[in-house]
Amino acid sequence: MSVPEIKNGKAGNSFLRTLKKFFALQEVSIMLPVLVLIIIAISLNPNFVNPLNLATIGRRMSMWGLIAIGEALIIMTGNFDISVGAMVAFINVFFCVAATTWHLPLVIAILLSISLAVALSTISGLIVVKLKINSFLTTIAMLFICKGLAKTMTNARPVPIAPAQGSDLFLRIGQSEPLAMSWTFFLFILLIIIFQIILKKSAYGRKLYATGDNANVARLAGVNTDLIKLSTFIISGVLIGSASVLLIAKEAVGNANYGSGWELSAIAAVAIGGISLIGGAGSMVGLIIGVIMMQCMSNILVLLQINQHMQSILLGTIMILATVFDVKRRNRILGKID
Amino acid sequence: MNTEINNVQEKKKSGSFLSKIFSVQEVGILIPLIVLVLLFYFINNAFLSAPNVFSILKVLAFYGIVAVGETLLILGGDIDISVGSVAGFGAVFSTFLMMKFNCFGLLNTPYEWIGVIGFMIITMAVCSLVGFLNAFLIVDIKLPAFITTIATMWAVRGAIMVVTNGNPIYPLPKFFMDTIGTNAQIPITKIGGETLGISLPFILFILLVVVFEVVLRRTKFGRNIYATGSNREVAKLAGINTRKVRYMNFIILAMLASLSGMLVAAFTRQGYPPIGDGWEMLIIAGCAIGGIALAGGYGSLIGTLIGVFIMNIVNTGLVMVGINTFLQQTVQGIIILIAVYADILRRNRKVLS
Repeated sequence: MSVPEIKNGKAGNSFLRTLKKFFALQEVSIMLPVLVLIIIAISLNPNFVNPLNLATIGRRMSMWGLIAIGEALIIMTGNFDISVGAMVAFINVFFCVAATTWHLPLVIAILLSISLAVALSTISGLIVVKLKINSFLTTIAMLFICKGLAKTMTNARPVPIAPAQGSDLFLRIGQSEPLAMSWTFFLFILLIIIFQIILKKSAYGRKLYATGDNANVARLAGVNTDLIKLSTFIISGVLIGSASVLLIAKEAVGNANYGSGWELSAIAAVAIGGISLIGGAGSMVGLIIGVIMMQCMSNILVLLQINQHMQSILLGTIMILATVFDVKRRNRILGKID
Repeated sequence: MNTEINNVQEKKKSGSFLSKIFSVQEVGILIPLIVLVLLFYFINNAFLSAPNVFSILKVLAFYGIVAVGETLLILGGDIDISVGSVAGFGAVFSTFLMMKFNCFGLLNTPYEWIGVIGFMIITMAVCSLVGFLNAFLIVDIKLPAFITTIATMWAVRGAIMVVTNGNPIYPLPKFFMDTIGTNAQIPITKIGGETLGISLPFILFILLVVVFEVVLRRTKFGRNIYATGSNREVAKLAGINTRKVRYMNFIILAMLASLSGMLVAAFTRQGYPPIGDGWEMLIIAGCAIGGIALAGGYGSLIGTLIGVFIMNIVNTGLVMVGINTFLQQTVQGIIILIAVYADILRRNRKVLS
């Protein structure tokens, strides 16, 4: 297209075709509402495009965005994890207690926290896969368990990490702002790219989609669906553990209230990003758009001084609408007439 | 295993009274209940003291009222996890309306009750709309029940915060706090100047269990619920209007949930926004412990009654035994998992036999 000399009909056609193809991409159709949202935000309050504000959006979204990646993978295989927020609450205080109260070296505390997150997530995954308990019920139970543990560990009081050995450097890394962003932000972008490639190009990705689309068919085709499902829980555990540690690096204080509502943000971002809540479809590009949109939305609500709590009403509505479209699309594909 | 076979043989042979009793599923759940009560009693004798018993009965009734509705819904093959939010919304919305409109301008007059009852009915009507919405999305648009009700759960929780801005609503009308709340009880004993008795919610709970147990066993609507839950397609082919049954279940549940929330508000003397937080799991766990098949079609309200008792006795018992209050949540989570797994084991055994 960049060569201006070839301006015959053929090139024009192919340009149109490319354009059509481009707009047919699901990710693009999700992008439009984001653009509309941003335009509305700018016209209502020009401060929205203030670089400082944009950087804040970037830093804020990367933290729970990490968790949304794991959630997206779990949802793609047809499961749900509602315990992610509560797990962050537990792991972040566990990390602080391990480093400060138990005087463990920081590296050990970090590794221990991440392993614990993986262990908890794996337990959820095993219960879902092996005992065949519905993932909603399993992870709501896990939510109770983690919330209880987080509060028991701290008596619901904040735990600072500061006196722990080596916490100076740790906090400097966590609070530094390379290019006005945070290291978490770059990690988030990197992981989005890596998982996008894994999903689209690797055998694992194809198996993951197959499992989510129809687990029985996938199993008959020789996919170890149990292992795929379990693996998404394990990946999610690693991400939850890392996010909890990074959260402490930024905040310097552990708190059993951190992470509350993150499951809501993550699942809403997944739904907005065009990832099927029933499983089997979606991409990481969609997810990042969903994450950006979610963060912009809460930012706009603040800028416009709208009641913050309107957000959960909005998110519930979005979740239902996304599922309605998803179900309709599926029925169309399957040619079901109801 | 052996005793089970013996039981069956005995029943076949003589049908003796005792074996009949033990073959009823509810009796099987009664045993852990009795064991738990005795266990907590031996650890801490205060567990069976009058104030504690009456307080357990009062608290469990709030969950129990919702559990009756949830049982009907689960028997009909659906599930709803938005009940906690709906209860909370009932609590804050009714109290908000009462104070906003001064009970139709009758606040602090002898006719205050008209406003209180009026707004309670209005709130139940509004909450039944949430049930209707859930039913519409799940029954007619055929969305997965879990995704839908978790979305409504979050949306309604948001609505609670929008109404209250996160602040409790008080003071409330005297009639609401006293006549419906603290004073509404049948006095039994008097300890330390405090009258203890059977509270209104508990009476209501038992009444609901009895009424709906009769409805389930003796009426066409009840039989239709079981039929819809055990096999929807077959029920449809048999001419049952499964759509109507499921709509009714969702609406009954939402109304009972809002009623329960309002009763909590009356007893705690404020419209407290976190009312109902986490109820859904306690209630579903209570149903599962009570032997209600989570896949639908099997179970009874007597089972739910016992299940609700067990959940609440464990809660209170843990406090009395001296376990950290925060750890209770963790124990609840583990109980939920065990209850749900027991349900799956039961189902598998039924399929095998």
